[in-house]
Amino acid sequence: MNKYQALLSKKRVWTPVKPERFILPDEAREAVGRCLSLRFLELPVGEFIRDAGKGDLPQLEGVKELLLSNIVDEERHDLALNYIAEVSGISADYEAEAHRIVKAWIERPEHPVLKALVLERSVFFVILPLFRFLGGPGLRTTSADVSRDETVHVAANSAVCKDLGLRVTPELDKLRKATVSWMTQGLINKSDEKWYDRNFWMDQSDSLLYTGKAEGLIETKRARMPAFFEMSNSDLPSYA
Amino acid sequence: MDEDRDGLEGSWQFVSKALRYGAGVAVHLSKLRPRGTENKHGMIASGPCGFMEIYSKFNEILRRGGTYRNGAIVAHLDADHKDIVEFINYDRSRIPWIKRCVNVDDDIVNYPDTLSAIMKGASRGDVWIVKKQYNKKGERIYSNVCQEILLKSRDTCLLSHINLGLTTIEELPKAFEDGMKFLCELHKNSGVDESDIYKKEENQIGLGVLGLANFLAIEGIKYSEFVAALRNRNSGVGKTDTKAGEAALALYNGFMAATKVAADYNMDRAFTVAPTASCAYRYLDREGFTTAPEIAPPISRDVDRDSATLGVQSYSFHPKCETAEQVGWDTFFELNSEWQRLMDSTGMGHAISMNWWSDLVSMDRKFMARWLNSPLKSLYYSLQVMENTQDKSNVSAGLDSSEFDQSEFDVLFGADNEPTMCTSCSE
Repeated sequence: MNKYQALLSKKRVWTPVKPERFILPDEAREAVGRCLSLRFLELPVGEFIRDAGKGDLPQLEGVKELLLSNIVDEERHDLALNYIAEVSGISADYEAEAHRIVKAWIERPEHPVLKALVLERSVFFVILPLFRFLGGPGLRTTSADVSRDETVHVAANSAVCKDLGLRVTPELDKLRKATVSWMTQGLINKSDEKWYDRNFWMDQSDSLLYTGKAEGLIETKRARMPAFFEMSNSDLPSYA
Repeated sequence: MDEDRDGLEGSWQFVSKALRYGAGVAVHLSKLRPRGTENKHGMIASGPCGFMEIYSKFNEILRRGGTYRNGAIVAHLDADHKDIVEFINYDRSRIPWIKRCVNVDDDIVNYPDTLSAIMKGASRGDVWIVKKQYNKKGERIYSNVCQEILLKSRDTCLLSHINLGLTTIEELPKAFEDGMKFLCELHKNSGVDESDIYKKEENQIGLGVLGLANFLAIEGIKYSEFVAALRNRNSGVGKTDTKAGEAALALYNGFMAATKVAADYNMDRAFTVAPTASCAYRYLDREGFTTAPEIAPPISRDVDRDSATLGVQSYSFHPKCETAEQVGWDTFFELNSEWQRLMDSTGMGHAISMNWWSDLVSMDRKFMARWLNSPLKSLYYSLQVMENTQDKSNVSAGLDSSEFDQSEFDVLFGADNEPTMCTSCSE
C-alpha cells in the first residue's frame, strides 16, 4: 500500500446533520460568522482538485481515487456548514465579502493543488479549532467531523505538491494572510483569553503554513467525548 | 408499554413522574400494534414510532426546562415488530431527546433485510442493539436506559461502582464484598416498592466498576495481559505468577465474595458494568488522575467532555493509561466477553453497556455474528476512538510514516522564496 492508498484507508464516512440552534458568546459571534461565511471556499477547493486531475499528477496508484474522494468530502463539508449557517443565521452579513475572497482565490494563477493545500493547511486548520473553542455543540460536532478529513487532505495535497515540485508564492501567502485577517475581525487584537485573541489566530495560521506546526493549538490534541444524553440527537455525529 | 393494561396514558404518567425525579426511563413499544393495523373496533393504529415524538418532548420539557436534571429516555422495539425499519430510520431531528434501541433474537441473521437496516442504523449512531433477555423463570426481562441492567417492567435500578483506580490488587476482594453489602442494605431500605411509580417484582441491584484503565496503568498491566489472565481464570486454569494473573484472581475472588453476600440478600441479579460516563469523571485514582469510565480504555489520555447542558470540561486520565486505539478492538471485545462470563458464572449477572468503536471496526455480518455468538448482551454507543484526528497543532498529527513523509511538509518554501514578511505583524 503506497501513501496515497494508506491515506484513503484512513478516511471514515460521516453524514452531515442539521444541528440545533446554538447561542454564541457576543465576543465570538462576528468571527464565527465570518469563518462560517468562508464555507463558500469548500466547493472551489474541490474544483481546484478536480482541475488538477485534468493535468499532471504523480503516476502512483491511488492518487486519483484519493483526490476524487477529497472532492466528495468538500461537498459534504459544504453541506454540513450550510446546515450550521441555516440554523445559526450568523454568517449572512459577511457572505458578500466572503464571495469576493473566494473569487480572489479562484483567480490566483498558482497550481490548483497548491491553492487547495495553502487553504486547508493554514486557513481551514485555523477555522476548525476556532469553531471548536468558540462554537456551540452542533458546530463542535461538525468541526470534529471535518477535522479528520482535513488532516488527510493536507497530507494528500502536500504529497502531490512535493511530487510536482510546487512552491508557495509570496502573492499566495499574502492572500492567505488577508483571508485570515478578514475572518478574525471581530476578535480583540490582544486578549488575555487566547481563543478571543485575533493575533493568536493569525500567528497560528502563519506557523502552520511556514513550519507545519502550531504550538498554540496544543489543546486540539484532546479528544472530544460527546455526553450523549446531554446533547440533542441533532447535535450528535452521524457516521456511515 | 402495554396498550391494554395501562394504556398509552399510563406510560406517559410513568415517564413524566420518573423524569421529574431525574430518572432515566426505557419504554418498550413492541406491544403497540404496527402502523395501519385495524383492531376489532375498526380503529387504525398509528404504530409505535410516532409516539417517540411524545416521549422526546416529555424529556425535552421536563428535564431541560428550568434547571438541569439528570434524566434520559430510550425507546425500545423488537426487531420482529413490523415497524422496525421505520423505527430505525425515524428522522432524528423529530426525536431529538430520545434514544433508540433494537432488541434482537439470535436468529436475526436469518432476516437479512432487517439485519441490514439495524446495522446501518447502528453504524450511523442512531440505534443501539440488545439481545432479548429472559430470567430464570423464562420471563422476559428488559434493558434499562443504558443497557447494563436487566429488569422486569416498571422495576428500577440501584447501582454503585467500585473505583478500581483507588484499589490495589490485594484490596479487590474486600472492595467487592463491601460494595455488595452497601448496595444490598440500600436496596432493603430504599422503599422503592412503596412509591406509586415503581414496582419491585425481582430483587436486583447492580454492582459495577470504573477506572479499570487506571488500575491496570498503575499496576503496570497491559489490557492484553489482563484479558489473557481473565480468560484463563474463567477457564479454571488461572496462574498467579504474573501481575495480571494476580489481578484476575483477586477480581475472581471479589466476585465470589460479593456473590455470597448478594445470595444472602436473595438477589436475583447483582453484577453489571454501567457506562459511568458522567460519574467516572468526578473521581480520581490513587495517583490523582481522573478515572476512566467503566472497564474501557479511554479514547485519549486527555479528553474534552462535551455537553450541551454543562458545556465543555477537560479531563486528564492517568498518563500511563493505554488508549482505545492502543488496546485495539479485538482485545476490548474479548475483555468484555470474559467480564460478562465472570458475571454470568455467579448466576447473578446483568449486562455490560459496551460501546463499539466504529472507526476501528465495521459493523457487518461478520461483526454481528461474532457478537451474537458471544456472551455479550448489548451494543451501546458507536464511538470514534482513533487518536489525534482533531489535532491541528501539527499538520502531520494522526498520521503515521506510511501516510506522510515529513519532507512533504517542508518543501512548500524553496530557498528562493522563503517567507519575507514578518510572521507576527504581517508587515
